[in-house]
Amino acid sequence: MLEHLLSGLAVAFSPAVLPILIFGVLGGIILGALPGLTATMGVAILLPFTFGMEATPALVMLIGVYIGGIYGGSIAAILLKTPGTPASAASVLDGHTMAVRGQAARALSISAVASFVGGLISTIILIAIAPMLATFALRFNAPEYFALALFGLTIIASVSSKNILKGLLAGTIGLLVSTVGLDPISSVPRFTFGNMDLYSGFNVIPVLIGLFALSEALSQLEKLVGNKHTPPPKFDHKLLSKQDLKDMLPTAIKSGLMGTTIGSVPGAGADISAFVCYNEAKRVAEDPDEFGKGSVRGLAAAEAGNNGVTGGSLVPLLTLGVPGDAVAAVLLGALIVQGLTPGPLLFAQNPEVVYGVFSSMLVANVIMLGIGIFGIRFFCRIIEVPKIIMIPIIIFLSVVGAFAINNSMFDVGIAICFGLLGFVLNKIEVPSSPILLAIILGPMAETNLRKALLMYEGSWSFLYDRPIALAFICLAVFSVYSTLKINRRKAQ
Amino acid sequence: MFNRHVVFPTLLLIVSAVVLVLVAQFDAPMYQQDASVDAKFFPAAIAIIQAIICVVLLIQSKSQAAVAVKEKIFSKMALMGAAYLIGYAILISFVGYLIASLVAFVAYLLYFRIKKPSYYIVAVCFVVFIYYLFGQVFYIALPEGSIF
Repeated sequence: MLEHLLSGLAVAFSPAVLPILIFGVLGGIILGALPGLTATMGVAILLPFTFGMEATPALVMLIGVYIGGIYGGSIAAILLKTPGTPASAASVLDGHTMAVRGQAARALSISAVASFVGGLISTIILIAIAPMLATFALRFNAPEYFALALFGLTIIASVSSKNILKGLLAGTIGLLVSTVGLDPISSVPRFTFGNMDLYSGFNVIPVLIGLFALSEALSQLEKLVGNKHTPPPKFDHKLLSKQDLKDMLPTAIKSGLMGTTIGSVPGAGADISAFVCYNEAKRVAEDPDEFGKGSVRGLAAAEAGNNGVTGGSLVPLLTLGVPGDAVAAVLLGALIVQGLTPGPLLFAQNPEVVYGVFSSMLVANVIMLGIGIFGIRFFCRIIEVPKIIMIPIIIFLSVVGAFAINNSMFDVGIAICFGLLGFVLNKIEVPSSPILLAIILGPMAETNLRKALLMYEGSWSFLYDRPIALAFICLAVFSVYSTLKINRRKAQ
Repeated sequence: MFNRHVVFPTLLLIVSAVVLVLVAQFDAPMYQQDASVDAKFFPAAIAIIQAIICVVLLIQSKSQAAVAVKEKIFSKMALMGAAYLIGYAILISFVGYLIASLVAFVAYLLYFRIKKPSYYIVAVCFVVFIYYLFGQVFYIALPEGSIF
């Protein structure tokens, strides 16, 4: 294996591949930073460019876009409170708070380092124990997915520390929204009112653009009255300190490990991973109150968690030929276009391609860190743009992002509606993030609950019959209990 | 003045009731499955949970004797912003992204009586850049209007 890995590294650093890798990572970061353009879309957009390439450079470029895209989403999330991708929604909570305090450079550097740690761990695990992880992930069936979704939903309790009931209320709004469209098992139309656009339900991108970006634009517009000539906020150029690095590293390593595991489970993507890791970091923290107020560990957990998925999601793809998420599905297409068959035979028949990709992932993470750190001065310029001009820019980017997902003005309308909802919720101190979380996890919870009930002929015994499902349910109960305990202690 | 901590749970309580009524009217599936829970189960369960949370919040707001917040939810500027968003979306559907964005950006700057020409140049450059980036580089279609 070491021999293959070394020759893979030689390929990654070769003059024919390295520029392509740098281009891929840089392109991914730019695409990820644009609201509405996800890492999946970035990989899909650049896929046709690889048709004429050799297999290794083609896959290397797409992997670079994937890694860069997941990180790039956090730039807009931190600076503009406009998550470029759903995976960066959790980074808004602490990253943007830091930026508002004038610590944008610090937040961006923490994000870059945590993404690097998460991505690196994920790649190392992918190389070392890919087949083992794939076997574990294969044990997941409907009951396990339902339990995983349930565990994910308990995060609502911890992201709504001010008033858990209001957080839960927001969660129910999100869950109800997630039921719009054709029912996933029997295709019964629900809350569609005969409107064809509603049959496929609400896409998560316009919803998150509305909840985070448009509502923020409205809030900023409101604050603009009377102080439209206020100079833009100053920020210091200080990157993360040694103390920050010391604080974040254990969390980033743990989140990277968790992200890899979550990523290797088909269907669980970077967005779910970021929230799960954030919740776990908050749960074990000595100062959970700091989370949401610019916590170094909170930002590191979300970023390492989402980048940790990059290696994990390739585990089922490369070892079993099963795409774990949307990006992996696009990559599967790229492999097939190149005449390669993903699965166990890929390692035996094309080791140079597999290890070339593995080595390039290691290099891509280093490139991402380099661009992330050296690009901070450039990225931070965004925050220096006067608010008066930044507000319409956010609005126009949001509209383009919402439209680009499905080429539909209906999605623009959805984004505007959720923008107004987010604005109102903000005024009445109801957190918006549970809505997003519930929209992401709701369909996963419902579909798998109903599949599990079909599997068990209507019996709910799957909740305690299956060890992995039981473990997740115990974790969910423990997570809620510890959050309530922390809140009670706070109240006392 | 209405207490927003009472109005919002009350509104959602009404939403829950409406959801329960709508759930009862769902079509029967074309192919009957031997399932213990159907398409109605999940939304109905959530609506009931939502209603319970709303009732608890209403009780909580009463027992805490919350001070009514005097600040309006929608200030004049926020209402203007909401109207701007909706107007921009309507304009796009008539004249397409490029013209609608140019008009909307310039109108916004004029509304705030911005006199610096550099701001207008930035506005035009930004809109054209996004149009070029999405349309020509990424081949992602931007909204087209019914007129242009």
